[in-house]
Amino acid sequence: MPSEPASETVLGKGITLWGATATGKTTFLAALYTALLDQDTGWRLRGEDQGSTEALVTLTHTLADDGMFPGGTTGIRNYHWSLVGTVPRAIKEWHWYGLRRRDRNVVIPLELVDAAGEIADAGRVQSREITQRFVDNLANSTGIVFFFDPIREFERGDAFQHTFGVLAQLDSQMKRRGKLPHHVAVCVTKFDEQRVFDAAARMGMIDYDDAPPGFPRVPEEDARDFFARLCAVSRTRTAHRVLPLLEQTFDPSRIRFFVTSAIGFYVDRYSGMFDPQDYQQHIPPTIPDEEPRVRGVVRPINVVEPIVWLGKQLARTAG
Amino acid sequence: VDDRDLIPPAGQPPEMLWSDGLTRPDGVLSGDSLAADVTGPPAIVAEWALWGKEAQETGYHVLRCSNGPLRAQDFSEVITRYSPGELEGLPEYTVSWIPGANREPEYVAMGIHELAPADPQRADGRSRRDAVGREIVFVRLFCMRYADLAELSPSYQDLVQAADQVQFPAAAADPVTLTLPAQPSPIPGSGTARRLAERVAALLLTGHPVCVLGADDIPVAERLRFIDTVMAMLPYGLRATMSAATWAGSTSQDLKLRLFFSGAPRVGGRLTDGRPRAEDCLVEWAHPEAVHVTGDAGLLYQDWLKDVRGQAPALLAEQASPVRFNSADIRHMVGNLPKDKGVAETLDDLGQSMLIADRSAIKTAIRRLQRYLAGEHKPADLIDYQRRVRAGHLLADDGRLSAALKRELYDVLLRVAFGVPLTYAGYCSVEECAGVPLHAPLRAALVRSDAADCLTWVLARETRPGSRSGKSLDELRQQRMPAAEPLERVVRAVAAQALRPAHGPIVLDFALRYLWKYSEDPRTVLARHGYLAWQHEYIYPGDLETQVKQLVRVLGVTFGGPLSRSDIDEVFGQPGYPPTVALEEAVVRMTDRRNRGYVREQVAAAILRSRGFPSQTVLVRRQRLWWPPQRWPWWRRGHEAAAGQRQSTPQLEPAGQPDTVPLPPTIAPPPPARLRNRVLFRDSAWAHPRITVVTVVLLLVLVAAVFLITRSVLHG
Repeated sequence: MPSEPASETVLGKGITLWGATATGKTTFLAALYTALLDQDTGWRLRGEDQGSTEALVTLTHTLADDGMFPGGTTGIRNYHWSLVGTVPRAIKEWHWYGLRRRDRNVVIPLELVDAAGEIADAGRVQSREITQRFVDNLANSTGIVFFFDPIREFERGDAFQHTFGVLAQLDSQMKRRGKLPHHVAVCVTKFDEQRVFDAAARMGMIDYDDAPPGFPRVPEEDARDFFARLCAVSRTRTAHRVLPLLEQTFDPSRIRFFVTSAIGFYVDRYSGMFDPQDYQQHIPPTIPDEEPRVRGVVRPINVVEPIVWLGKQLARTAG
Repeated sequence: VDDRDLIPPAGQPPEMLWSDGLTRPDGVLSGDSLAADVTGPPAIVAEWALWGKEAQETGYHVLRCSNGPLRAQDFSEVITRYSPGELEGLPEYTVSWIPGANREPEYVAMGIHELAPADPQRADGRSRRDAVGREIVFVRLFCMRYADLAELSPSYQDLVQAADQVQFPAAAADPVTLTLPAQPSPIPGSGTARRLAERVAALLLTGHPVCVLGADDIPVAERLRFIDTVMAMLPYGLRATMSAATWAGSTSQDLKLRLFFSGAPRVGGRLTDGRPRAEDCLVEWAHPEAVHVTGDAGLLYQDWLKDVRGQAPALLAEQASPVRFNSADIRHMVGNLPKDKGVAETLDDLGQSMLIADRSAIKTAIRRLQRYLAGEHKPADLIDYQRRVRAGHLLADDGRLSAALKRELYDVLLRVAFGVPLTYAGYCSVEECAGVPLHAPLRAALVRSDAADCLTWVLARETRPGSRSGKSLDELRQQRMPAAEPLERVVRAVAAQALRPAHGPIVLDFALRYLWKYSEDPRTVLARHGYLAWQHEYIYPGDLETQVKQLVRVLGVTFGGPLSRSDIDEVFGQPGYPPTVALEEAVVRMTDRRNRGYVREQVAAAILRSRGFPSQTVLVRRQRLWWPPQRWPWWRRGHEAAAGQRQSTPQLEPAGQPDTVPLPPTIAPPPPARLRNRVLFRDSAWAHPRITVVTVVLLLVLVAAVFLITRSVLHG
């Protein structure tokens, strides 16, 4: 009879979400719990204090049940969540029935920092104090989730401006001889938006899942290239410098790219399959006071992967 | 009057012009000019800003603001710094403050967090949603100079009520006028909210943020009233630096609010710069009895609130000088609360209360004295206080009072009337006021109080000499007191004649035991002070036998047994300390009978030495050796010359002085007659004329006798 897996908490520094306003940071968090449940990876999300748990419930409920997008973040919020999962031990142990690997329960604290995008907008500094606080958060994080919204970049093209200002302050503050030590998950968001999906399709970077509902994905090996090419079609001439800026500031081996969608594509409930002719999940407001809505069931794409990858890096860093 | 001042502010009727407005150097109207007219409702000028987004934007910023000294960046800083985080219901209110150029509190800011009204007529052109369809939470910020506020003393409810009547102009404009309600908004005079507010007011003085939980269903107006009630329980001047919110998100990082409502407690942790975040004091809305105030300032303040009961808001409203929430300002504030009697009056009251053992009144007086002590340092007339303590028998051991009450009473009286840390003079005053011997509760209070020097420390713990317990010795040693320090302190006190004879045996006994227990070389220390002969004479005046016994004890411990001649030399050879009769007797008792003559000689030598005689004149007799025969003058001359050279460094004279010390003018040369047969000169005996003459005469007589005998034999 297998014994109860040993429980182990891996301590590490936090993960900071970084991106311009309305790039989908809070929606990404709201989709995380659902995504973990759907993917059945063995990991689950847990709130570690009352406020964080209430926030987890509220965000998940708003997106998954109400089909609404969570409100924008004000200031800087801290979520004390944890990834809880079971992983096999690296070393086999002797048991009476032979040499076996024993599973262990791992709790990876996710000290998530969700900051309002305008905090780091270089064009309009809200407050020096709060911007400095955000940079402090970045400096003290092990992992960074960098959000890149192709739609915003196409319409406004301020990614470089946003990124450069923050990185310059971060670099100045940390004063490292080499590159900054963070692990960076670059998330190209809003893959469900028609313009993004079409761009990926035209670039020939789409793969489809074998399992229903057969969602399209940009494979991880193409994600960097996709990001680079999206930057190239930015409204401004500076966006193509975002990727070199990231790779020159952080160790390229510690940067991974993900093409994500927090709400996924729309799937007809009767067919249960992805329809390339009818996949728009995001319903924008049509009248002034209407709220944007989610059309169908939320099916996040590549939301779990960046967090689990960063969580494992946190665990490794903490030993 | 500047034309700019005459422009009617937005939302105000034309008749609300500032008819007699006097401008300050920076262009802002003074508080004197705020009233529209003498009989009209009070009004106050406020700089303003609107924070939010335009319909086509996604990021928050200052949309428009007034043309006053505060710039858009200033408004932006204060709004983001005191942001309450995510707000679930709207409107909500925040209050905060802005320092001036010299970092002193200058502005009080009132923020109204709200959605744009659904009615476009009242929306001031504000959109309800931004470019991505999110609801826009606007902040209407009103910044008023604290000096202006302090003159009118409006509550936060009054300000919100006034601000609700104001619509911002569509573009940058002059400051607006807030017309305050004619009747100030009420605060609860009793009930749960009032009791909770009193406790929260005291909690705020600890410096920790206070988070009120369990008020999710309470309307925002009531939450704002609660904040007002809390502030009404504090001096109005604290509003100059107060920050509060009717709601704040528990997940917000680094809230800068001192008082806020929230749905869940914030967890502890560290700030982004690594410093530990101050833990919030959590209070439950419906459970004021569960609030436990901690910290001296908070407890004392809570007691004061109980004392003044319903008068607190009225008394505190007059305390309008700006106060910060730092320990120095809080201490000053607690020490200067209104309607608090002075120390002298309180001591007199205490005397009356002690007569009838009115415990409640005694407690009240104690709390008042504690508040006085918690305040900033003020010059105190200790002599007058001590006189009142003595007159009121305040330090008497009253059996009608409980031990706890006596403990508090004595603690506070010692601090108020005798000063802490307690000096030796203060201890003597305590004895004069309370009478000796001190009773046990008072002695316990003395032990608890800080002592300024080790004499006080010892006297508070030791009641008689000769204690066998080493507890006090160990306790003092734990305070890293050097081994010789208590003895040095006793010696200094005796030299200054400041030590009371009654205290002498106790402190001297303790000092000696401490020295012997912890000093590696007590003999040197005692030798330096002449084996304490004079100290014993001072401490046991007229009691020769006790002096001798004590000195026998000192010498016994020092030399470890009967004294040899070398020990005697050492005892009497100490410079600067002429031997006392008791010391001589003690040495005699401790040495062999055969050495008694030697002792007397050493005493005489020491006395002469202490009177300033040259060293060549002092030594009386040496032990005679059988060889070489010292009678030989040539040997003695040479030997004594060498000895004189060895002793050429006189022990009496300070270094650097010539070998021969001139006699002090006050000491006459000893008459030769008294020196006869007592002092032998170290030089040749032939140098003395009388000896020479006598010798010559004797020789002549001898020669004459020999001549006569020879002649008689020869002629025979």
